[in-house]
Amino acid sequence: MFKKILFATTASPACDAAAKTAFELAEKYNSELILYHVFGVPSHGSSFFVTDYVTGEEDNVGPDYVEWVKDEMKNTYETLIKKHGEPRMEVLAGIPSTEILRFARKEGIDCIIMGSHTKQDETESARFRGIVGTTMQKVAKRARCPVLIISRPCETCFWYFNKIIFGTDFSKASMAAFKFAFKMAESIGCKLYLFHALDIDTSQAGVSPGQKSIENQIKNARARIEKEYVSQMNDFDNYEISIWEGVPYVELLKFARETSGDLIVMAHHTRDIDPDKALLGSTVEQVVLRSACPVASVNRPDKL
Amino acid sequence: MEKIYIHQNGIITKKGEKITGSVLKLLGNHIKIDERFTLGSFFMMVDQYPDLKNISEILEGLLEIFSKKGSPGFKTEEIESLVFYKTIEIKGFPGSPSLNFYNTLKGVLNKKTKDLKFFHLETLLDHKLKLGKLNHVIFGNKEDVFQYKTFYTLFELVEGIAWELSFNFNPLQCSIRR
Repeated sequence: MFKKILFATTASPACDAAAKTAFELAEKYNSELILYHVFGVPSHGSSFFVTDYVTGEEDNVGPDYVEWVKDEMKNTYETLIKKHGEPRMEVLAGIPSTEILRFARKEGIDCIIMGSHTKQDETESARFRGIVGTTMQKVAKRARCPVLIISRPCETCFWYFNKIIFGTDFSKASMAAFKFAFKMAESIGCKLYLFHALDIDTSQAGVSPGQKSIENQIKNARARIEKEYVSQMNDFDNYEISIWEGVPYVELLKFARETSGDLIVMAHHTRDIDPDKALLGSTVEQVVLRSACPVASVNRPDKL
Repeated sequence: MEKIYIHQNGIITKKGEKITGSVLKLLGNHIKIDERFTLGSFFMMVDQYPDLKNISEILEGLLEIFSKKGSPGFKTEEIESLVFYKTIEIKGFPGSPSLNFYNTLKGVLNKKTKDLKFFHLETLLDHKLKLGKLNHVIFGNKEDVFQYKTFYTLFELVEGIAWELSFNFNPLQCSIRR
Protein backbone atom coordinates (compact mmCIF):
# COMPACT_ATOMS: atom_id res chain seq x y z
CA MET A 1 0.00 0.00 0.00
CA PHE A 2 2.76 2.46 0.98
CA LYS A 3 6.35 1.72 0.03
CA LYS A 4 7.75 4.82 1.70
CA ILE A 5 6.19 6.71 4.58
CA LEU A 6 7.54 10.07 5.64
CA PHE A 7 6.84 11.08 9.22
CA ALA A 8 7.47 14.80 9.49
CA THR A 9 8.00 15.59 13.14
CA THR A 10 9.08 18.30 15.51
CA ALA A 11 9.98 15.54 17.97
CA SER A 12 7.82 17.33 20.53
CA PRO A 13 4.82 15.92 22.45
CA ALA A 14 2.55 17.55 19.84
CA CYS A 15 3.65 14.83 17.40
CA ASP A 16 3.35 11.84 19.77
CA ALA A 17 -0.01 10.68 18.44
CA ALA A 18 1.22 10.97 14.86
CA ALA A 19 4.42 9.08 15.75
CA LYS A 20 2.51 6.09 17.07
CA THR A 21 0.43 5.90 13.91
CA ALA A 22 3.49 6.33 11.66
CA PHE A 23 5.41 3.49 13.31
CA GLU A 24 2.38 1.19 13.35
CA LEU A 25 1.41 1.93 9.78
CA ALA A 26 4.95 1.36 8.52
CA GLU A 27 5.13 -1.99 10.27
CA LYS A 28 1.69 -3.03 9.09
CA TYR A 29 2.41 -2.26 5.43
CA ASN A 30 6.05 -3.27 5.59
CA SER A 31 6.95 0.25 4.45
CA GLU A 32 10.19 2.11 4.78
CA LEU A 33 9.69 4.73 7.49
CA ILE A 34 11.65 7.96 7.36
CA LEU A 35 11.64 10.31 10.33
CA TYR A 36 12.13 13.80 9.02
CA HIS A 37 12.93 16.73 11.25
CA VAL A 38 13.67 20.33 10.32
CA PHE A 39 15.27 21.95 13.33
CA GLY A 40 15.73 25.62 12.52
CA VAL A 41 15.86 28.46 10.04
CA PRO A 42 19.30 28.98 8.51
CA SER A 43 20.56 32.54 8.65
CA HIS A 44 21.46 34.15 5.32
CA GLY A 45 24.59 33.43 3.35
CA SER A 46 26.82 30.50 4.14
CA SER A 47 26.55 30.99 7.88
CA PHE A 48 26.66 27.99 10.18
CA PHE A 49 24.05 29.51 12.47
CA VAL A 50 20.40 28.53 12.59
CA THR A 51 17.57 29.98 14.64
CA ASP A 52 15.88 27.25 16.66
CA TYR A 53 12.12 27.12 16.04
CA VAL A 54 11.20 26.62 19.64
CA THR A 55 13.62 28.71 21.64
CA GLY A 56 14.40 31.43 19.09
CA GLU A 57 18.06 31.07 20.00
CA GLU A 58 20.89 30.87 17.49
CA ASP A 59 22.79 27.60 17.30
CA ASN A 60 26.05 26.84 15.56
CA VAL A 61 25.38 23.96 13.19
CA GLY A 62 28.02 21.41 12.30
CA PRO A 63 28.14 17.62 11.90
CA ASP A 64 28.18 17.24 15.68
CA TYR A 65 25.02 19.28 16.06
CA VAL A 66 23.19 17.17 13.45
CA GLU A 67 24.29 13.94 15.19
CA TRP A 68 23.16 15.40 18.49
CA VAL A 69 19.70 16.16 17.06
CA LYS A 70 19.48 12.60 15.68
CA ASP A 71 20.38 11.20 19.10
CA GLU A 72 17.72 13.38 20.68
CA MET A 73 15.17 12.03 18.24
CA LYS A 74 16.21 8.46 19.00
CA ASN A 75 15.70 9.17 22.68
CA THR A 76 12.32 10.75 22.03
CA TYR A 77 11.06 7.73 20.09
CA GLU A 78 12.95 5.09 22.08
CA THR A 79 9.84 3.12 23.06
CA LEU A 80 8.45 3.05 19.54
CA ILE A 81 11.85 2.13 18.07
CA LYS A 82 12.14 -0.79 20.50
CA LYS A 83 8.71 -2.03 19.50
CA HIS A 84 8.75 -1.44 15.74
CA GLY A 85 12.43 -1.15 14.74
CA GLU A 86 14.66 1.78 13.91
CA PRO A 87 13.60 4.00 11.03
CA ARG A 88 15.82 6.08 8.76
CA MET A 89 16.36 9.54 10.20
CA GLU A 90 16.88 12.74 8.27
CA VAL A 91 17.47 16.08 9.98
CA LEU A 92 18.38 19.42 8.47
CA ALA A 93 17.91 23.16 8.73
CA GLY A 94 15.45 24.98 6.50
CA ILE A 95 11.86 26.09 6.12
CA PRO A 96 9.88 23.01 7.27
CA SER A 97 7.13 22.96 4.63
CA THR A 98 9.56 23.55 1.75
CA GLU A 99 11.99 20.90 2.94
CA ILE A 100 9.28 18.31 3.62
CA LEU A 101 7.80 18.79 0.14
CA ARG A 102 11.21 18.78 -1.52
CA PHE A 103 12.23 15.59 0.27
CA ALA A 104 8.91 13.86 -0.44
CA ARG A 105 9.23 14.63 -4.15
CA LYS A 106 12.87 13.57 -4.33
CA GLU A 107 12.31 10.29 -2.49
CA GLY A 108 8.98 9.41 -4.12
CA ILE A 109 7.18 9.26 -0.79
CA ASP A 110 3.77 7.52 -0.86
CA CYS A 111 2.32 9.00 2.31
CA ILE A 112 3.27 11.88 4.60
CA ILE A 113 2.22 11.64 8.23
CA MET A 114 2.22 14.68 10.49
CA GLY A 115 0.49 16.29 13.45
CA SER A 116 -1.83 19.25 12.99
CA HIS A 117 0.41 21.57 14.98
CA THR A 118 4.11 21.91 15.50
CA LYS A 119 3.68 22.81 19.13
CA GLN A 120 1.44 21.60 21.91
CA ASP A 121 -0.88 24.55 21.61
CA GLU A 122 -4.01 24.98 23.57
CA THR A 123 -7.14 25.24 21.51
CA GLU A 124 -8.02 28.66 22.83
CA SER A 125 -4.87 30.25 21.49
CA ALA A 126 -5.23 28.33 18.22
CA ARG A 127 -8.47 30.17 17.55
CA PHE A 128 -6.61 33.44 17.36
CA ARG A 129 -3.60 32.20 15.43
CA GLY A 130 -5.39 30.42 12.62
CA ILE A 131 -6.87 27.08 13.14
CA VAL A 132 -4.16 24.66 12.05
CA GLY A 133 -0.41 24.89 11.77
CA THR A 134 0.89 26.65 8.68
CA THR A 135 3.43 23.89 7.98
CA MET A 136 0.63 21.35 7.84
CA GLN A 137 -1.45 23.66 5.63
CA LYS A 138 1.36 24.17 3.14
CA VAL A 139 2.35 20.53 3.01
CA ALA A 140 -1.23 19.28 2.68
CA LYS A 141 -1.97 21.80 -0.05
CA ARG A 142 1.01 21.02 -2.26
CA ALA A 143 1.96 17.42 -1.59
CA ARG A 144 1.61 14.98 -4.47
CA CYS A 145 0.86 12.11 -2.12
CA PRO A 146 -1.82 11.68 0.57
CA VAL A 147 -1.11 13.52 3.82
CA LEU A 148 -2.32 11.82 6.96
CA ILE A 149 -2.92 14.34 9.73
CA ILE A 150 -3.16 13.07 13.29
CA SER A 151 -4.18 15.63 15.84
CA ARG A 152 -5.12 13.34 18.73
CA PRO A 153 -4.10 10.01 20.15
CA CYS A 154 -5.74 7.46 17.92
CA GLU A 155 -8.55 5.97 19.99
CA THR A 156 -9.65 3.59 17.30
CA CYS A 157 -6.37 1.90 16.67
CA PHE A 158 -5.11 2.38 13.13
CA TRP A 159 -3.79 -1.17 13.15
CA TYR A 160 -7.30 -2.59 13.21
CA PHE A 161 -9.18 0.19 11.56
CA ASN A 162 -12.09 -0.84 9.44
CA LYS A 163 -14.42 2.07 8.87
CA ILE A 164 -13.27 4.62 6.34
CA ILE A 165 -15.33 7.73 5.75
CA PHE A 166 -14.90 9.48 2.45
CA GLY A 167 -16.31 13.03 2.51
CA THR A 168 -16.99 14.49 -0.91
CA ASP A 169 -17.93 17.84 -2.36
CA PHE A 170 -17.84 16.39 -5.91
CA SER A 171 -14.77 18.43 -6.83
CA LYS A 172 -11.95 17.12 -9.02
CA ALA A 173 -9.73 16.74 -5.97
CA SER A 174 -12.49 14.73 -4.30
CA MET A 175 -12.06 12.12 -7.02
CA ALA A 176 -8.41 11.74 -5.97
CA ALA A 177 -9.54 11.41 -2.36
CA PHE A 178 -12.08 8.79 -3.38
CA LYS A 179 -9.47 6.74 -5.20
CA PHE A 180 -7.30 6.74 -2.08
CA ALA A 181 -10.22 5.88 0.23
CA PHE A 182 -11.43 3.09 -2.03
CA LYS A 183 -7.94 1.66 -2.46
CA MET A 184 -7.49 1.56 1.32
CA ALA A 185 -10.93 0.07 1.95
CA GLU A 186 -10.43 -2.56 -0.75
CA SER A 187 -6.96 -3.59 0.41
CA ILE A 188 -7.97 -3.77 4.07
CA GLY A 189 -11.37 -5.27 3.35
CA CYS A 190 -13.18 -2.72 5.47
CA LYS A 191 -16.35 -0.71 5.16
CA LEU A 192 -16.37 2.48 3.10
CA TYR A 193 -18.83 5.25 3.86
CA LEU A 194 -19.46 7.67 1.01
CA PHE A 195 -20.59 10.85 2.70
CA HIS A 196 -21.83 14.15 1.38
CA ALA A 197 -23.16 17.11 3.36
CA LEU A 198 -25.66 19.36 1.65
CA ASP A 199 -24.61 22.85 2.58
CA ILE A 200 -28.09 24.28 2.89
CA ASP A 201 -26.84 27.77 3.76
CA THR A 202 -25.08 28.24 0.46
CA SER A 203 -27.14 26.02 -1.80
CA GLN A 204 -29.63 28.79 -2.61
CA ALA A 205 -28.39 32.32 -2.03
CA GLY A 206 -30.50 34.10 0.54
CA VAL A 207 -33.45 31.73 0.26
CA SER A 208 -34.13 28.87 2.65
CA PRO A 209 -34.95 25.81 0.57
CA GLY A 210 -38.19 23.98 1.25
CA GLN A 211 -38.38 20.35 2.32
CA LYS A 212 -39.14 19.18 -1.21
CA SER A 213 -36.17 21.03 -2.63
CA ILE A 214 -33.89 19.50 0.04
CA GLU A 215 -35.23 16.03 -0.70
CA ASN A 216 -34.53 16.57 -4.39
CA GLN A 217 -31.00 17.70 -3.68
CA ILE A 218 -30.41 14.64 -1.51
CA LYS A 219 -31.76 12.43 -4.30
CA ASN A 220 -29.49 14.13 -6.83
CA ALA A 221 -26.44 13.85 -4.59
CA ARG A 222 -27.10 10.15 -4.07
CA ALA A 223 -27.42 9.60 -7.81
CA ARG A 224 -24.19 11.50 -8.36
CA ILE A 225 -22.33 9.42 -5.78
CA GLU A 226 -23.56 6.26 -7.47
CA LYS A 227 -22.61 7.51 -10.93
CA GLU A 228 -19.21 8.98 -10.07
CA TYR A 229 -17.92 6.71 -7.32
CA VAL A 230 -19.92 3.50 -6.94
CA SER A 231 -19.59 2.80 -10.65
CA GLN A 232 -15.82 2.55 -10.15
CA MET A 233 -15.99 0.05 -7.31
CA ASN A 234 -16.74 -3.06 -9.41
CA ASP A 235 -17.60 -5.97 -7.07
CA PHE A 236 -16.87 -4.08 -3.85
CA ASP A 237 -20.16 -3.99 -1.94
CA ASN A 238 -19.07 -3.17 1.61
CA TYR A 239 -20.12 0.46 1.33
CA GLU A 240 -22.87 2.79 2.44
CA ILE A 241 -24.00 6.13 1.04
CA SER A 242 -25.02 8.85 3.50
CA ILE A 243 -26.17 12.35 2.72
CA TRP A 244 -26.81 14.74 5.56
CA GLU A 245 -27.89 18.33 5.45
CA GLY A 246 -26.18 21.12 7.35
CA VAL A 247 -22.80 22.74 7.75
CA PRO A 248 -20.32 20.31 6.09
CA TYR A 249 -17.69 20.13 8.81
CA VAL A 250 -20.24 19.78 11.61
CA GLU A 251 -22.13 17.05 9.77
CA LEU A 252 -18.95 15.17 8.88
CA LEU A 253 -17.79 15.23 12.51
CA LYS A 254 -21.20 14.10 13.72
CA PHE A 255 -21.23 11.32 11.15
CA ALA A 256 -17.72 10.17 12.12
CA ARG A 257 -18.75 10.13 15.76
CA GLU A 258 -21.93 8.21 15.12
CA THR A 259 -20.31 5.58 12.92
CA SER A 260 -17.13 5.38 15.03
CA GLY A 261 -15.13 6.07 11.89
CA ASP A 262 -11.42 5.21 11.95
CA LEU A 263 -10.25 7.41 9.11
CA ILE A 264 -11.73 10.40 7.32
CA VAL A 265 -10.55 10.92 3.76
CA MET A 266 -11.27 14.18 2.02
CA ALA A 267 -9.96 16.60 -0.56
CA HIS A 268 -8.51 19.92 0.46
CA HIS A 269 -10.85 22.42 -1.01
CA THR A 270 -14.45 22.92 -1.86
CA ARG A 271 -14.20 24.29 -5.39
CA ASP A 272 -13.14 22.87 -8.72
CA ILE A 273 -9.97 24.85 -9.13
CA ASP A 274 -6.41 24.12 -10.04
CA PRO A 275 -4.91 22.23 -7.07
CA ASP A 276 -1.89 24.53 -7.20
CA LYS A 277 -4.13 27.51 -6.58
CA ALA A 278 -6.47 25.78 -4.18
CA LEU A 279 -6.38 26.90 -0.60
CA LEU A 280 -6.88 24.41 2.14
CA GLY A 281 -10.65 24.38 2.47
CA SER A 282 -12.07 25.53 5.75
CA THR A 283 -13.92 22.23 6.06
CA VAL A 284 -10.65 20.29 6.18
CA GLU A 285 -9.18 22.66 8.75
CA GLN A 286 -12.18 22.40 11.02
CA VAL A 287 -12.35 18.62 10.69
CA VAL A 288 -8.61 18.09 11.24
CA LEU A 289 -8.62 19.98 14.50
CA ARG A 290 -11.73 18.35 15.92
CA SER A 291 -11.73 14.83 14.58
CA ALA A 292 -10.98 12.01 17.00
CA CYS A 293 -9.71 9.84 14.15
CA PRO A 294 -6.93 10.55 11.63
CA VAL A 295 -7.78 12.68 8.60
CA ALA A 296 -6.22 11.99 5.21
CA SER A 297 -6.03 14.97 2.87
CA VAL A 298 -5.64 14.03 -0.75
CA ASN A 299 -5.34 16.72 -3.37
CA ARG A 300 -3.78 14.93 -6.33
CA PRO A 301 -4.04 11.50 -7.87
CA ASP A 302 -0.28 11.35 -8.70
CA LYS A 303 0.78 8.89 -6.02
CA LEU A 304 -2.34 6.74 -5.83
CA MET B 1 -24.81 46.94 33.35
CA GLU B 2 -27.78 45.08 34.76
CA LYS B 3 -27.17 41.48 35.68
CA ILE B 4 -29.27 38.61 34.48
CA TYR B 5 -29.60 35.42 36.46
CA ILE B 6 -29.43 31.96 34.93
CA HIS B 7 -31.17 29.26 36.93
CA GLN B 8 -30.34 25.58 37.28
CA ASN B 9 -33.13 24.70 34.83
CA GLY B 10 -31.73 27.10 32.23
CA ILE B 11 -34.34 29.81 32.71
CA ILE B 12 -33.07 33.39 32.55
CA THR B 13 -34.51 36.02 34.85
CA LYS B 14 -33.95 39.75 35.05
CA LYS B 15 -34.99 41.61 38.19
CA GLY B 16 -36.84 38.45 39.19
CA GLU B 17 -38.88 38.36 35.98
CA LYS B 18 -38.66 35.32 33.75
CA ILE B 19 -37.42 36.15 30.27
CA THR B 20 -39.52 34.77 27.44
CA GLY B 21 -39.00 35.22 23.71
CA SER B 22 -35.87 36.70 22.19
CA VAL B 23 -32.72 37.06 24.28
CA LEU B 24 -30.71 38.98 21.67
CA LYS B 25 -30.88 42.19 23.65
CA LEU B 26 -29.50 40.38 26.68
CA LEU B 27 -26.36 39.03 25.01
CA GLY B 28 -24.24 41.86 26.36
CA ASN B 29 -25.64 41.65 29.90
CA HIS B 30 -23.48 40.50 32.76
CA ILE B 31 -24.51 37.12 34.08
CA LYS B 32 -24.80 35.41 37.43
CA ILE B 33 -25.36 31.68 37.49
CA ASP B 34 -27.09 29.50 40.05
CA GLU B 35 -24.85 27.62 42.48
CA ARG B 36 -26.28 24.33 41.22
CA PHE B 37 -25.80 25.31 37.56
CA THR B 38 -24.37 22.43 35.50
CA LEU B 39 -23.27 21.99 31.90
CA GLY B 40 -26.65 20.32 31.40
CA SER B 41 -28.29 23.56 32.66
CA PHE B 42 -26.39 25.39 29.93
CA PHE B 43 -27.97 23.19 27.27
CA MET B 44 -31.41 23.58 28.87
CA MET B 45 -30.92 27.33 28.51
CA VAL B 46 -29.89 27.06 24.85
CA ASP B 47 -32.85 24.78 24.19
CA GLN B 48 -35.29 27.22 25.77
CA TYR B 49 -33.96 30.30 24.00
CA PRO B 50 -33.54 29.32 20.31
CA ASP B 51 -31.76 32.63 19.49
CA LEU B 52 -28.73 31.27 21.31
CA LYS B 53 -28.40 28.33 18.90
CA ASN B 54 -27.45 30.76 16.15
CA ILE B 55 -24.33 31.89 18.00
CA SER B 56 -22.43 28.78 16.93
CA GLU B 57 -23.09 26.27 14.17
CA ILE B 58 -21.95 23.51 16.47
CA LEU B 59 -24.64 24.08 19.13
CA GLU B 60 -27.40 22.22 17.28
CA GLY B 61 -25.24 19.08 17.10
CA LEU B 62 -24.30 19.35 20.77
CA LEU B 63 -27.96 19.77 21.72
CA GLU B 64 -28.74 16.52 19.91
CA ILE B 65 -26.17 14.73 22.06
CA PHE B 66 -27.61 16.41 25.17
CA SER B 67 -31.17 15.40 24.29
CA LYS B 68 -30.18 11.73 23.87
CA LYS B 69 -28.54 11.59 27.28
CA GLY B 70 -30.36 9.52 29.89
CA SER B 71 -31.21 10.94 33.28
CA PRO B 72 -29.13 10.74 35.42
CA GLY B 73 -26.28 10.15 32.99
CA PHE B 74 -22.79 8.80 33.59
CA LYS B 75 -20.63 11.42 35.26
CA THR B 76 -16.87 11.20 34.87
CA GLU B 77 -14.89 11.12 38.10
CA GLU B 78 -11.74 12.36 36.43
CA ILE B 79 -12.88 15.88 37.21
CA GLU B 80 -14.76 17.36 40.17
CA SER B 81 -16.39 20.30 38.42
CA LEU B 82 -16.13 22.66 35.46
CA VAL B 83 -14.84 26.21 35.35
CA PHE B 84 -15.38 28.86 32.69
CA TYR B 85 -12.80 31.62 32.78
CA LYS B 86 -11.35 34.50 30.82
CA THR B 87 -7.69 34.85 29.90
CA ILE B 88 -5.58 37.77 28.73
CA GLU B 89 -2.34 36.48 27.27
CA ILE B 90 0.65 38.51 26.18
CA LYS B 91 3.08 36.65 23.93
CA GLY B 92 6.52 37.79 22.85
CA PHE B 93 7.95 34.75 21.05
CA PRO B 94 7.58 32.73 18.83
CA GLY B 95 5.92 34.82 16.13
CA SER B 96 5.00 38.49 16.32
CA PRO B 97 4.25 39.95 19.74
CA SER B 98 0.55 39.61 20.48
CA LEU B 99 -2.11 40.19 23.09
CA ASN B 100 -5.12 37.87 23.07
CA PHE B 101 -8.37 37.64 25.00
CA TYR B 102 -10.25 34.38 25.16
CA ASN B 103 -12.68 32.34 27.23
CA THR B 104 -12.02 28.76 28.22
CA LEU B 105 -13.96 25.87 29.70
CA LYS B 106 -11.91 23.39 31.70
CA GLY B 107 -12.42 20.60 34.17
CA VAL B 108 -11.19 20.99 37.74
CA LEU B 109 -9.51 18.27 39.80
CA ASN B 110 -7.69 18.98 43.06
CA LYS B 111 -7.75 22.71 42.28
CA LYS B 112 -5.93 22.13 38.97
CA THR B 113 -7.54 22.62 35.58
CA LYS B 114 -7.84 19.80 33.05
CA ASP B 115 -8.36 19.89 29.31
CA LEU B 116 -11.76 18.59 28.24
CA LYS B 117 -11.26 17.60 24.63
CA PHE B 118 -10.76 13.92 25.38
CA PHE B 119 -13.93 13.61 27.46
CA HIS B 120 -17.24 12.61 26.01
CA LEU B 121 -19.79 15.35 26.31
CA GLU B 122 -22.29 12.97 27.93
CA THR B 123 -19.96 12.48 30.90
CA LEU B 124 -19.63 16.20 31.60
CA LEU B 125 -23.27 17.26 31.58
CA ASP B 126 -23.99 16.67 35.27
CA HIS B 127 -20.90 18.47 36.50
CA LYS B 128 -21.33 21.82 38.23
CA LEU B 129 -20.16 24.82 36.27
CA LYS B 130 -18.66 27.90 37.90
CA LEU B 131 -17.50 31.23 36.53
CA GLY B 132 -13.82 31.67 37.33
CA LYS B 133 -11.46 34.59 37.69
CA LEU B 134 -9.64 36.33 34.88
CA ASN B 135 -6.15 34.97 34.25
CA HIS B 136 -3.50 37.38 33.07
CA VAL B 137 -0.62 35.51 31.42
CA ILE B 138 2.56 37.51 31.01
CA PHE B 139 4.68 36.97 27.91
CA GLY B 140 3.37 33.49 27.26
CA ASN B 141 4.88 32.23 30.47
CA LYS B 142 2.26 30.20 32.27
CA GLU B 143 4.27 30.52 35.46
CA ASP B 144 3.50 34.23 35.58
CA VAL B 145 -0.26 34.21 35.86
CA PHE B 146 -2.14 36.83 37.83
CA GLN B 147 -5.79 36.36 38.73
CA TYR B 148 -8.44 39.08 38.88
CA LYS B 149 -12.12 39.28 39.62
CA THR B 150 -14.10 39.86 36.43
CA PHE B 151 -17.54 39.65 34.78
CA TYR B 152 -18.96 37.55 31.95
CA THR B 153 -21.67 38.35 29.44
CA LEU B 154 -24.28 35.93 28.13
CA PHE B 155 -22.61 36.00 24.71
CA GLU B 156 -19.20 35.10 26.15
CA LEU B 157 -20.68 32.15 28.02
CA VAL B 158 -22.53 30.69 25.03
CA GLU B 159 -19.84 31.29 22.42
CA GLY B 160 -16.99 30.22 24.70
CA ILE B 161 -18.60 26.96 25.76
CA ALA B 162 -19.67 26.15 22.18
CA TRP B 163 -16.09 26.68 20.98
CA GLU B 164 -14.57 24.45 23.62
CA LEU B 165 -17.13 21.69 23.22
CA SER B 166 -16.74 21.70 19.46
CA PHE B 167 -13.61 19.61 20.12
CA ASN B 168 -15.56 16.85 21.90
CA PHE B 169 -16.44 14.64 18.96
CA ASN B 170 -14.83 11.49 20.29
CA PRO B 171 -16.63 8.26 19.42
CA LEU B 172 -18.35 6.55 22.31
CA GLN B 173 -16.38 3.37 22.07
CA CYS B 174 -13.10 2.24 20.68
CA SER B 175 -14.04 -0.10 17.90
CA ILE B 176 -11.48 -2.85 17.56
CA ARG B 177 -12.83 -5.31 15.05
CA ARG B 178 -11.86 -8.01 12.63
